[in-house]
Amino acid sequence: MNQPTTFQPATTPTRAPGWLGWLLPIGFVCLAAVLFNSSTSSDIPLAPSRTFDKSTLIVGPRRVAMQDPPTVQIEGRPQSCNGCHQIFTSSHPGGAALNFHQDLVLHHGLNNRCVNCHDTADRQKLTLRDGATVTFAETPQLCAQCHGTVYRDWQRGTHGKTLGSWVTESQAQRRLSCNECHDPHSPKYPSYVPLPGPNTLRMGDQSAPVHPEHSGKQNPLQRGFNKPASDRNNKITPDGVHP
Amino acid sequence: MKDLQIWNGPSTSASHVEPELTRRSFLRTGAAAIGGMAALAAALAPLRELASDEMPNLDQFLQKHYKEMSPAEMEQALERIRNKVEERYAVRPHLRDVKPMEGVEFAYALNLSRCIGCRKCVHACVAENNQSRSPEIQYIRVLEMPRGTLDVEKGNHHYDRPTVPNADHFYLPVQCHQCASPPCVKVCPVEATWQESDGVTVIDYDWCIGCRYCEAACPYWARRFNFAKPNLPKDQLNPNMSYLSNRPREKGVMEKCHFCLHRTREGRMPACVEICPTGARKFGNVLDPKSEVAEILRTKRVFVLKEEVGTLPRFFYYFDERYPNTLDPEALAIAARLREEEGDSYGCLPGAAGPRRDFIAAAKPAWWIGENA
Amino acid sequence: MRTYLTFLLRCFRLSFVGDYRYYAWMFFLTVLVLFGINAYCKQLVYGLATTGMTDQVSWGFYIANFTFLVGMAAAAVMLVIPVYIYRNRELHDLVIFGELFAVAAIIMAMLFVTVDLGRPDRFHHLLLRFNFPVSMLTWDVLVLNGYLLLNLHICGYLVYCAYRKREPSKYVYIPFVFVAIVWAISIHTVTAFLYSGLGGRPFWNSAVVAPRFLASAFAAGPAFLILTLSALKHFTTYEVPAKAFMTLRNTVAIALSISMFLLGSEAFTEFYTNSSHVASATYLFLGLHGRTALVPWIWSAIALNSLAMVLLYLPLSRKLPVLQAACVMLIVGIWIEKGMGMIVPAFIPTPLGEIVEYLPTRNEILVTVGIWAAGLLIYTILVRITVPVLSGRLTYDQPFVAARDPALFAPHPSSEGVVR
Repeated sequence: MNQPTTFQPATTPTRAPGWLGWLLPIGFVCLAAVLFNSSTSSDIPLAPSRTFDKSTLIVGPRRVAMQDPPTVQIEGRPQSCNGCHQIFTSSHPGGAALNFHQDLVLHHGLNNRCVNCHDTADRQKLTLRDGATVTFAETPQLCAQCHGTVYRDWQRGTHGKTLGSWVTESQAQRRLSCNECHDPHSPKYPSYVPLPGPNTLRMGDQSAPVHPEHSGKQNPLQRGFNKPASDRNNKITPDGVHP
Repeated sequence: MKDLQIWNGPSTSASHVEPELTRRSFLRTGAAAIGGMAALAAALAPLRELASDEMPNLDQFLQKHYKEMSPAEMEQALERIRNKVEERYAVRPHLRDVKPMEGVEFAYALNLSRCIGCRKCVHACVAENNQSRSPEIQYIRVLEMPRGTLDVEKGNHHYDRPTVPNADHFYLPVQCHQCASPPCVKVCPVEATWQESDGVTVIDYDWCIGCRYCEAACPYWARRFNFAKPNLPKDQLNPNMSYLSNRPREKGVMEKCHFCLHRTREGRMPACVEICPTGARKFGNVLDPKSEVAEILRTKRVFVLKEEVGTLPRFFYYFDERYPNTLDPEALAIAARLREEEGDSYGCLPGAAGPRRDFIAAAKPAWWIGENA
Repeated sequence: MRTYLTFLLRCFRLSFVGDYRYYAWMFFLTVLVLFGINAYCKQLVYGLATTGMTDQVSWGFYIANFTFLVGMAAAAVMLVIPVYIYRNRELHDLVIFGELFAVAAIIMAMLFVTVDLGRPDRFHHLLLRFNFPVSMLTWDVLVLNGYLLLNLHICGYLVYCAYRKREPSKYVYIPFVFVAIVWAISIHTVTAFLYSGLGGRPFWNSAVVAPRFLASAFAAGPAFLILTLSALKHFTTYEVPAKAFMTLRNTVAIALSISMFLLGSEAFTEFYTNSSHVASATYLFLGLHGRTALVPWIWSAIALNSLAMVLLYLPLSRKLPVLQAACVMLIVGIWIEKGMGMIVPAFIPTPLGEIVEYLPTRNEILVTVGIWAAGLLIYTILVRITVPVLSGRLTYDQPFVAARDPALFAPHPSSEGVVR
């Protein structure tokens, strides 16, 4: 610890010219000027905030269920079903398609007859398979005949939509009935136009779809899905595309 | 030149002689010092651009952590925030501090067979919670996943189809799972985030220091940071706010989904649950055996994402039946044949065959085990 | 006390004394610091969006540099161990320069963390609610500040004793030296634990992170010391014994070999298993889904490190210029591998599989360069003070002018050049 450290002999320093000393203040002033004038903008690549039609975000049932007793609009006025159907017969011997109810498209699985669900004697009722009738307010019972598992889930609350409150059996809670989401004649849920995807800061070009690497090893489960999605997957469905 | 002894010094020894302080050297040193100060002032010049409500404020500096504030101090803080919001957005907000309900623990369930990927939840959340629009902050991210995998790396965040859903994919929305063992709470150095008794992991926006450790720790990419001053157009402000949820945040703090606690702690649904058109999202009190979520957890085969990380999320996913009826080639073929047979009288009352036909017998699909099987 | 204040005042004056090369160097660093301050002010006004960070990649250049510098600070201990544990007398004088470097590095690291914060005005919240011991960041705050104080104490005491021409008392500093050895290991281990404890980031969630950090730190730190001592040797009359360089060279070679081995071990575990956890490593080394921004960086780093390692094992590197070149190469290589090559890939892809790449912006680079310049400025000033004091030019019983003598560091005739 006591060893002295030796030093190399001192070298004679070179003399620098006198004006060199003024470079320092000049340099600082130039720097001040540069800094003061440097841009005060942020250079942040901010995308303009997107707006879209807020009406797509309205909370409520997707469709208005038929009320009980049911009515139809004929020439702008509501008419009860039996008003016509107890006067006129509804047979169409070899004839054309429906004269009325032409806005309806029947696309309900294997159902090909109106009277699979509608009572022939009383059009203000719906008919069950054993001949019993239910009112339009009890529509879910009709659906339950064929869609028993879904009905069971709906009763529990695991299928379908609940509005208002999560508090069970509160006044505000409202479970939607089957035909407040599904059109009973074409019950398949319509396709939607998706709302815009994310547009976060600096996320870069995401337009190219992500392709899994084809390295020779393929997931056996994916074998059947190798074909690209065909048009049929995105066709406009019969009851239109919901906005 | 004697005045340069500061730099070079005399080459002869004379080491004990104090170099002369000439006028020139004094001026030079002074000029250098003033030049330096000017340069420093110029360097600090951008601070002029700080907005007036971003300047340091003594009240904010002394404000306590949420858990330590007395009701009076909380009211003071709320008043300060109300004034600030009114000043910036010209709307007086309904701002309060909503406490958790007793005997409530929230859980969330999402039916992946029902999600169609419409992204209404994403935008309803944004409309409800006063996030910045530019840079864009969205708490919910919907992934379009190919069927047969839950590997999120194969998901597509930026799908942009003409219509959804696409039959070869399912849709996986992800947001904060309010985990029961949250890694974000573990890592926060200042305890700015914690989980409340009803299960919601909350953030005290006035306590967060913006270190973003929680963002790195979250396995679900649920947390968002305000990298710039939030840009929220005045007409899109939701004035129904609470301290821990959707009051407008400032730059430099974290935010995330909070199960819309300003709504749910008063019995309402979160915005994403209410807007979902298919009813894929279910929310409720898991301690109530009659709630929808309790039913789902009992009867459905639920799972969570990244279970192996051990976060114990309270966000459960499940698949149940899916009805691709119009895609079932069998059903399509039968319906086509029936229409062909019926011709013009399709959909009409039958003739002499009776009021109703046994459509199953008429159709004789392949799975019918009958005499003609 | 008065002597101490005079000492501090003299230190302050001394930092403005030097020849034109000194002024050029200090002016250059000051310019960089001012640009850094300017860029940071812009960041304060506009937020962290002036950096290249995003929600997807939320830690970037600042934290990368922080990680690297904590390692450098820890490596000062690599000089302390041979001297105090192995009683290598010849290196004794150089311990101070290592510890001064640790002081500068820790200050730089703390500055990097501060500029990374979204709300630095809420720093006091750390004092009011401290999530210790659960949050590793709190551990980091404690150990970094403790290490700074330790080194300031040891260096300050030794330098002040030389100024006062006193023999330093063993009991005042030797225990702290041994604490500093253990503490140095702990600062980098704690920093590694910051990352390795996160289950949501599989790239980090590996036990090998802490050993890798230590190994690369103990390679880069002594390498930086070799460069500093070379600068001392070149610009001052202080003689640095060749043994110092050789001891450090051996340390660097071994530490670098361990670091490369651990890198290889990590690569094997990731790529052989080929589970979904390999995504980040794939992004780093090979590119993922066509995104390859980091690939040239990591391979350059590996090339530089390998070349440096080969050079260090060859007798060729006994020559100082070759040794310096190898040190520069490995510092750059480790800076890349531990900084950008460790921090950024953990965020790509995100836990939800999204790929958003990261590139530091001009503002971010200006702040970073500013902090590095500030650290070098501090270190230069500390060395500028220490060398005259240790060489006996600046003591309490001499007028200040002795320290401003020509030729800067020539030995004073009356001094024996006693150095502790």
